[in-house]
Amino acid sequence: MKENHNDNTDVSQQLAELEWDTQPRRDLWPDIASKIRFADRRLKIKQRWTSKSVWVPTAIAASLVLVIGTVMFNSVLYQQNLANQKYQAAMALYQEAQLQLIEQQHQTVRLQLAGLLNRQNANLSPDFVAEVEKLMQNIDSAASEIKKAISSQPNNPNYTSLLVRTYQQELKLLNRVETTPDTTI
Amino acid sequence: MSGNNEAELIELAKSGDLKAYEQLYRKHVGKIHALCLRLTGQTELAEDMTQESFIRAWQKLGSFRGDSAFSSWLYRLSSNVAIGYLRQQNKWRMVSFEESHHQATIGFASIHEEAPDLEKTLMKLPDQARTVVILHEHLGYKHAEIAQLTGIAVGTSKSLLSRAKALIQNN
Repeated sequence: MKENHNDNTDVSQQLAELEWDTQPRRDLWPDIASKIRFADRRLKIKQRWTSKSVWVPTAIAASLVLVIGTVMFNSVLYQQNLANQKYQAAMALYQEAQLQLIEQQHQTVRLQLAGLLNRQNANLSPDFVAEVEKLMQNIDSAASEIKKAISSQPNNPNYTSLLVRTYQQELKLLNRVETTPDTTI
Repeated sequence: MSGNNEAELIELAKSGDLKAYEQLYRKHVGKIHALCLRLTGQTELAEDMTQESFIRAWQKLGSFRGDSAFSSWLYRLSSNVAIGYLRQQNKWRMVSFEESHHQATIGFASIHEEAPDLEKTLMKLPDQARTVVILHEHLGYKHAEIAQLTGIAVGTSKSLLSRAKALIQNN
């Protein structure tokens, strides 16, 4: 690695004669070990919370709870204001926005689930994969029927609530696939 | 565990064995501390940099593939840590050889009255010149490598080395 120099070559020799192994005044290891343990713990926590597999379902679950809350609240109001036409028109617009939000969340869960199945395919038994796929199809069929009902009665929040509960089944399925790496359901 | 050779200790440490890493620390701490001491010129800072070097080495252990000796890898990492810190703190500014000579009287050399003459001369060098001398003459780095590590130009590295050597020779 050294370059050629014709002059002052003895400087490196003089340097080599110096003491190049001097212990610190105190033992640094206890501090080093403690900082390493602390940093490792922080890293594990960070990795856990930056991992999509943890925060995506958690965030979706939290937002679904909020959606269910508002849907149930709306259901009560719906019963109370059934005769109010203006209220029903406003509710229809609100329901539509809610449906869009629910669909977006469902698509996120579906992509997450499909990706997970794809990644873990080699570790999962064929029966397990087939069962998950069948459950996904059931959820799709149920959701399709509920959406038809919503189209015919757009102001009825009970159907929206039912749709959210159906999609929640998919979220549960995603969590089960994540925690069941190589066995059947 | 004491019978383990270095390669085994490295593999154990890579898998998270802190006891194995402690053995590596015990083996190399003296050399790393000496390097940090000479790069920083300050006893307390050298200890901080030694500590930081071993923490950083633990975190980067996975990237050590054994292409070079573990000590060389550690030296390079520690040089990076110490020089990086000094640059960050703006302590690694360019000072003249004359100015540095005066500053050294309150630094390392004055504390170690019994230190060899070369040691005293080294500590009287500006930080950048001392770093170039250590990296080039002791660790065998090329000027291009020093430039990359320190952020100075290759020409500056050569010039600093030449002046520093002349000063060492005259003392």
